[in-house]
Amino acid sequence: MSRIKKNYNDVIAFVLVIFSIIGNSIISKFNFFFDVNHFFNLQYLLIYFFSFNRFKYLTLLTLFVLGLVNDSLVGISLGISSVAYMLIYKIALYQHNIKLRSIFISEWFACGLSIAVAYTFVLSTFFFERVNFDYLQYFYNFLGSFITYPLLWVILKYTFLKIEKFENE
Amino acid sequence: MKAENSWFDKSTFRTYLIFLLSFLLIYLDFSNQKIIKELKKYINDATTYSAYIITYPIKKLIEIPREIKIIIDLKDQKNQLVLLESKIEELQQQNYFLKQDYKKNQEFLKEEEPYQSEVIYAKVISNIDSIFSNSFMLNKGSQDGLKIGNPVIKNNNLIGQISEVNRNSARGIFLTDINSRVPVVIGESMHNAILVGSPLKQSKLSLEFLPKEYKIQNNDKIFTSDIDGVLKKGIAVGYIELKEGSNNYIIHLNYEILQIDRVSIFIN
Repeated sequence: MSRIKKNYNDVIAFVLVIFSIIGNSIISKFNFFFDVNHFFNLQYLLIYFFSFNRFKYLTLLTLFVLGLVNDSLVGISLGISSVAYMLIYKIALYQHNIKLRSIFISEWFACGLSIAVAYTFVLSTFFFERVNFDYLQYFYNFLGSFITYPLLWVILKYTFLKIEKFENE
Repeated sequence: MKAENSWFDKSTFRTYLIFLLSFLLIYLDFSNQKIIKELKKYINDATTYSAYIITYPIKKLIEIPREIKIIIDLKDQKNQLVLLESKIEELQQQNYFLKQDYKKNQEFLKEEEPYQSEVIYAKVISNIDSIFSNSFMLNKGSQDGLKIGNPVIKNNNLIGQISEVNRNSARGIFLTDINSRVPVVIGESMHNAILVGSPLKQSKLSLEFLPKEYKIQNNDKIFTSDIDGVLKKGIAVGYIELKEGSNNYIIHLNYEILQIDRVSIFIN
């Protein structure tokens, strides 16, 4: 995907990230989907994917604000999600800059690393704040996110390439 | 070396600044600073209502098939009558069980004065089910008299407690949230225990501090206890299902937490 994209792609990417943050109450309407949020972290995966592929509206400042919104909605200390999002963003950006050629495996492992770093930060903060957490739940969530990334990658690449084609026609 | 390429150029400075601001926010929030506490109340109100407004059309769209189905079902009046008749029977049966329950509760509370609580009715404006929390937002806040710890009730069953109060909204945590701790009494022997949210368990609930001598019976009912002075005694919570051939058990709540739309909150 090229660095300069048409507006549709960027707007859709941005809306997807926002929806993953505020759409929790919609997802919970479906019994089947109720536990999806426990299986993988859609927000982290989307932020990594769009940051790695350099979508325009996902900047450090946007992620900071979106993080505050998420913290406010979820009910954790303000700033925790902001730092987690920005860590993922920075790792994705670094991986994007150092890649010599497009190898998916390296992108995938960097995604795993970024989520692991983000969760380590979140859990360390919870530990110092004496908030209860089950580390196994986070470990399963990390594994689920790591396994889900290739599937999400295929879906998003295919969708955004289609949109790009449609825009060019 | 040019300023743009140095380790402390404009972009790097901005990055450090935003990270620093985030850490500062976390510290201020953790240390319960009054300014951040007040600011958070406004931020929470704004984000809760914004999320509610943005997601409202989508929620309504999702509900359309269900509502169409209800309309189609209602057209068939004969079936409706049969349904009503069966419902009457069901209600009569329920009435019988309620009488039985009432008798039990009377015994349970015979030495206690019946509690009188002021009740506030609130609408659930969003459910949050993420790895970080299992909570819900209500459209009533401190201006309506809500306080942290108030029990949230649906159909006379406890479903959670208020954990955070803003001006015009409040957050309640479900009993299944990992941070939920509710003192309860179990079974006819009324043993004390703490009902704890355990996300990895099948029922997402577990019992802690159960006396060793207590043997769990199938269908043992769970009620709240006033041992911590926050909750009132005798609010129904759920029941225990004992797994056959083992000492393992599953805790069932009396009310399906997915279905909540309106709730009552005891504020006294």
